[in-house]
Amino acid sequence: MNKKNLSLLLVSAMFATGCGGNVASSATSESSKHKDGDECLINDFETESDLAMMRFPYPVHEARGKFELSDQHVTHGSKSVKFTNIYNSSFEMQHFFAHCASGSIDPSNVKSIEIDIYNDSPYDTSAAFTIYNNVELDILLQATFDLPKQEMTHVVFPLSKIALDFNAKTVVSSSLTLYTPNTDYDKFVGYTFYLDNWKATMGGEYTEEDKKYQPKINSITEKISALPKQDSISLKDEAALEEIAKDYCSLPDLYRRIVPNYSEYKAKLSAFTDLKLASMPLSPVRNVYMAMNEFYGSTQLIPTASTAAEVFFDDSVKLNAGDKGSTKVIFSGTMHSQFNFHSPISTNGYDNVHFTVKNETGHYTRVWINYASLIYFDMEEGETADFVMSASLFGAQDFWVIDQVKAKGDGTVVAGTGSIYIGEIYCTGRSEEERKAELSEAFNHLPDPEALVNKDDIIPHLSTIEMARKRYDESPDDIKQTISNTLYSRLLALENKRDVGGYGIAFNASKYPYNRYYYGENFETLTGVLDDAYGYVQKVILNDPRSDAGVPEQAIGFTDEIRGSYLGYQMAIYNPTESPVNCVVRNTNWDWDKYESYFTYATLLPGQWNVINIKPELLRISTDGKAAIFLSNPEMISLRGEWKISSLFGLPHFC
Amino acid sequence: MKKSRPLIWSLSFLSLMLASCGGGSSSASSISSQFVPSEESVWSTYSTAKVIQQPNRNSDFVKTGNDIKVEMMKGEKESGQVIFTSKARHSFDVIKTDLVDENTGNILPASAVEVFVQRYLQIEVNLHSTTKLFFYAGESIPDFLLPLEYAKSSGENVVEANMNQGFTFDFNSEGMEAGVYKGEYQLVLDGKETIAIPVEVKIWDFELKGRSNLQSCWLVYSMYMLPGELDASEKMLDTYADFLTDYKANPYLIQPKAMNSPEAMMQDVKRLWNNKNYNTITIPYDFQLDYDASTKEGDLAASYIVKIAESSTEENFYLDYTIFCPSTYDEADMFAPKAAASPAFFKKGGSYQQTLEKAIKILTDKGYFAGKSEAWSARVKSAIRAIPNPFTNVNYVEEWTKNLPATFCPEINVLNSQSTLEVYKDFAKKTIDDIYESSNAQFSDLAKTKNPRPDGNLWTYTCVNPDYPYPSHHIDDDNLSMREAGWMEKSYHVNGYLYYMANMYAYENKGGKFFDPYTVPNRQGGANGDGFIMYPGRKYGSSKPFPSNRLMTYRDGLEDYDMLTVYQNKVEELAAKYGVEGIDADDLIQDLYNKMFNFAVGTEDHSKFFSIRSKLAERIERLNTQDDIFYFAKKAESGKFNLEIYSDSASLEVNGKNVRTEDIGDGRFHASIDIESNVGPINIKTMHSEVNDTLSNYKNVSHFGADSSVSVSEESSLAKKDGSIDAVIRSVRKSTVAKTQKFRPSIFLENVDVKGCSELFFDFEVYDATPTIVADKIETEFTVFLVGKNGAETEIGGNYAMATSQEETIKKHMTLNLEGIDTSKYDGITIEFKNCVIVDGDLALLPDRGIRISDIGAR
Repeated sequence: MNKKNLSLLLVSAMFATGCGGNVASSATSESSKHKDGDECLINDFETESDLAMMRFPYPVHEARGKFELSDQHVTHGSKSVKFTNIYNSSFEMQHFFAHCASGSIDPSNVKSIEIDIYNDSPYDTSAAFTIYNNVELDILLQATFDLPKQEMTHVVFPLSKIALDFNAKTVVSSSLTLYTPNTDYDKFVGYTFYLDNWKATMGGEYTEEDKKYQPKINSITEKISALPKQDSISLKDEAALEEIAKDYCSLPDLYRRIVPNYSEYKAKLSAFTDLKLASMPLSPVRNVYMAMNEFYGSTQLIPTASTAAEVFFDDSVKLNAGDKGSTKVIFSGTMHSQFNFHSPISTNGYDNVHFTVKNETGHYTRVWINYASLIYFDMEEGETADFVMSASLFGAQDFWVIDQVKAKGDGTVVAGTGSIYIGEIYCTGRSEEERKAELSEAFNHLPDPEALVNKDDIIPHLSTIEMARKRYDESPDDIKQTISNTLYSRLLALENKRDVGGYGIAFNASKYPYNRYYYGENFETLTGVLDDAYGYVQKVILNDPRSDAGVPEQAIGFTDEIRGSYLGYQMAIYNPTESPVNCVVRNTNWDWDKYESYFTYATLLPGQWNVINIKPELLRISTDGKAAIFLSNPEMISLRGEWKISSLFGLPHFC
Repeated sequence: MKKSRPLIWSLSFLSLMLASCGGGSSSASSISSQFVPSEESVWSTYSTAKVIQQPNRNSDFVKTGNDIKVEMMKGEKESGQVIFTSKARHSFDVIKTDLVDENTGNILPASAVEVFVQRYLQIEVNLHSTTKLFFYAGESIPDFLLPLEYAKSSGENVVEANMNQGFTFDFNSEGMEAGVYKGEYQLVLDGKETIAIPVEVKIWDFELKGRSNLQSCWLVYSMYMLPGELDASEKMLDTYADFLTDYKANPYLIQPKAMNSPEAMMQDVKRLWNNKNYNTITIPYDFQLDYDASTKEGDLAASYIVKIAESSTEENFYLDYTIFCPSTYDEADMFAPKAAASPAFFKKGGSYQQTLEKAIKILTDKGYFAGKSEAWSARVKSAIRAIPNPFTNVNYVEEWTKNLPATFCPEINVLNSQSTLEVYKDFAKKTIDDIYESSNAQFSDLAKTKNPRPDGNLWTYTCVNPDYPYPSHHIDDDNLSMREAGWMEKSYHVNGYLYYMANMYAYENKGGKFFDPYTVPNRQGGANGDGFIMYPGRKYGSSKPFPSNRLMTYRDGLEDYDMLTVYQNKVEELAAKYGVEGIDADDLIQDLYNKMFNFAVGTEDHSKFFSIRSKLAERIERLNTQDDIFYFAKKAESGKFNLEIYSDSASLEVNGKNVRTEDIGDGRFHASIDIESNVGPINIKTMHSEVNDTLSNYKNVSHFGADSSVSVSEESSLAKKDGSIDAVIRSVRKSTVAKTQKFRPSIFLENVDVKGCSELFFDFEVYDATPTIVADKIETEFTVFLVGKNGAETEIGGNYAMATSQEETIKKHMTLNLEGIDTSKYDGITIEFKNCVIVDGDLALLPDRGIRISDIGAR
């Protein structure tokens, strides 16, 4: 059993007759009337109306059961509630302090929550009491306890007065979770529990430990309040933020959770990290800042509001050399999970993003990176995999979606359970020497403008011109100086010829496309090569994709914005295979309402360059990772080979 | 292709102003405190109206009196409502009595009506309807219908001072005779004062035989049973399935996969089969995006089909009622991974069809077909291959619609375009024809099976979207639109409706906030009322759930669909009897459709709706005569219109004059008379029967004679024949791209007279007019405008057809709705065609399209 047993909290087999003498049961009681020592019924399970007060915070398909009033195992009043577990799942039932049998209860003055539970099953199991801090169901206090089989257990859950005091305005409810034992899982169906006398005892007191930490919590609270407003945070506040983080991390877990304005701190920290990020000089070869798993007490990946997973920094698991630890994600199994970067990240100037993932979920898992752009990878149980992908895909992305899908075997898609670890995520780029060499190479291949006599002579050189311009503009000044004035003038002259002719490059081949299906498995990272016919082109090495899935198919995405407005577009694709290949260029934009009309179809003849025309409607829509070239071979012949893809040429207007 | 929506900015502005005056989220009591009704009263209005609890807007609702008047078929349910406006707090009760038909002495017992107390949900904000608000923030809208006995036992039979309290009376004519039943119910206040409520229920003398043609799939989630009913047992789930079926909402239970099995499914099917409302067996198998029919998953999916096939008999042929609901592919046009996976699943020979073939193979391997007749084998195999798979789409996806043999299920507002609708209809028919043609090809002529759904499978759905002016289940939209949806669906040959969740008894995501399933209208953030159509019964001690007035309206809309089917069946029966070809019930009833709705937007006039419904009933009754009188207008060779009359009687009088009849054999007789002399009231009398009706004024708008003013745009050509034109539409390249794109090849008709008409109609035929084959198929799409000499122009519709070879011609009938148009302003018609498309970066002129249009009529 994974649940932690807190024997401290257990008072087993006590019957309510000994502690129910002062129970307030009037539904009209006001919370202000409850005095210290009063026992206020949260639910006595006497009537159907009592049962109707129960709420269920996480409805899931698996939660199948039935509640009925019962005359058995009654510890207070004349009825108990019998709960029958119909399907094998844990159950959580929730009570709002504002809607109790005793009316509204002031949660800040509750000393303890108690209940009597009879476990009628032949299995020992466990349950948990939880105090939710807010309507987002953030846990403030929680304890688990054992439920021995065939026994009545009287459970007392003493609440931390200090925790309730500090969060008096937000605490909403208490809940009881009945767990199924994780052995004999399937057998645990059809058994019953009897519940009665769910009540709160009023008048909590500070423990010695509470008293010890109260000043520190007060101090942290005040320091957070003393920080400038979120929109006024500056780099000068770094020391104050660090101090708060240090103080906060020195608190035991219980006391961390009760710092009432910690969310305010996180918001201010987020504003600060934005500034910090913008101010940090980027290393030309590795973005160190991005590689930090944790800073200022917070993991860099944080779950979104709709995610039921927990994220921790785990310094015991280091996946990459030099890692300080990893981000550990524990999935709840209740819904798919999505994470944002704590602050938007920057990949400008870098070529690749690297990361490592370790799958300890206990099953085959699919991890999505940016759901909209169709990138995912699959991992077997226990697998640790390194991934390298185009930095351009992260350029505008400030989020990940990690969506666990148990898709193999019986084909069931479920929200995941278990854990994955994500190592440091970092960018890499080319060194200064490499950049200089590339820039020189690009200019050295520029043709002589005077040799281009006819208007169309420039077409084969368009991407070379484009590449030279792009590399020049992206280079720091000291690298630009590598290029002589003569060579630069040649570029200007060629650009003038191009513009006069009306041609242009709508999209160049310098970015990294991606493989929609098996990134990093059957698809090698692209490299730019010079080709006599089409200037700079991208070389794509396809292995033997989807050999187990019928028709071989690959998708290569556009990852750059289409520039300019042209009446038509052309690009060339070299088909290295020995058979014709179907090629469809289609928009896979999130804005799918144009999907149906806008695509281009062509057959790529084997062993040669194939020029395809692309409708302007297709490219009118932003193609930031959302348009793609789909290659398929209906004859079932492999797409294996070295493919080459040219830039996308914009054709001039003719009117 | 889509017709633009009407702009109602002035209304929008007014509505916003009113909303802001309403005080935002002010409570019901604060609103009422500003308004004190002048007197206590009982008043009635249409069952489709939602009268809010606060009486300050009572004048907005049409008061139909202080009584209940309901008209209905035999064997259906129909509701009416009365409102009590209070000045003081009262407890109340309603005393029902038997209703009596004074002519026959027949009784409609008190037990045949169920009385519901309307409960109100206060909306914090109207979440939709940017063009018009029916309800405003803070208003309490009736939705939850609490049976009177439970209101009394729970003490909720109380109306507060200065409030409205609505009562819904749901009548059941099952087993009743036709007639007019009258009587009086009593509203009892505080146990002493009584207010009489006169009641009149007219039961028409016809009913639907068999099960409804409109299938449905309502998803019921087991996960919400616990929050609502504290009981997620099989028995409770069965109760929910039974309850929804009573309201013609066929259930699809979503529960843990392990809880499903072919045996358990069949057990449910056999239980539900006893309910004649049950007509959709949704197989509880959900195809995943990476579904592969060759795996064990394929075996599992196919095993359900096998079970249903093995259970089917001549009498109970379950297969014809079976569907899959591939909900993982829901709204795939909105989600990239779903969109990417959809073609492989839905395409011809794709994993869906592989599953169906796998089921047939399993049956074959098991020896199921051995010893069975060839006709039975043909029927079973064809029915399996035709199992629908509603594929919900938020938008019209042309590529999918024209290429995937799926059961398309667009949002109902997508059907708000005739051209789009025509594509859906054409391809639904093509898909089913292809299935039956290829399936039947495997059998001898004698064994070939008949397609039970000749129009194919076309479904529709509503959800968070759409909202006003389209049909919706939103609490803050009018109910009338969903009632009218039944008519729209029948008109558009839609034969299925899907709703994604019937029982959202908790917040969709987390249950952090205190949630009361009886008072919270917005449960997932998108729309008030979205995701739930019913209320749990447990709190009130009921063993079954309670309806909303939206569910009741949905049911009544479906029963209207059934009533239209009764009409269609009768027309087809009489047409077959008299050997009349080319008669379509849709055409005969188009005038009623036109008056009620324009594509997916219905009238907002409740009175008009019920008047049209009564007219439909009259038409059905006119077809139910002893001599089987059957009459309709038909275009004659002259271009004019004749009234064709058929009956079993040789003697015939029309408006008191004897008319010679022609003996067409087997005791059947026919007469044809000039309709233009009989416009207005008409009396048709045969030996044993008599029918009274009012004939419309049929006009021949253009006969395309030698003197007709018809022309075409430059480079197109025109040949006039008597009664029709034959035009070759040619695109033209202009001096600039913009001009080329703007140009529209057209046919112009001048000097036409459509004054006073509500409908324009003609037949057209398209063909490939290119000298050589230039494409696999030639699509002809056009838009029709009324034009006036003063430059006035209004679009009245459009259509599309596709010829796939030079030899092929496609014929279609076209009806254009002129309701609401001031036809006196127009004296011309323009039919516009597309000029060009962009292909490979260049403007490409469309190829020559041939179109023949027969003379244009109006009425």
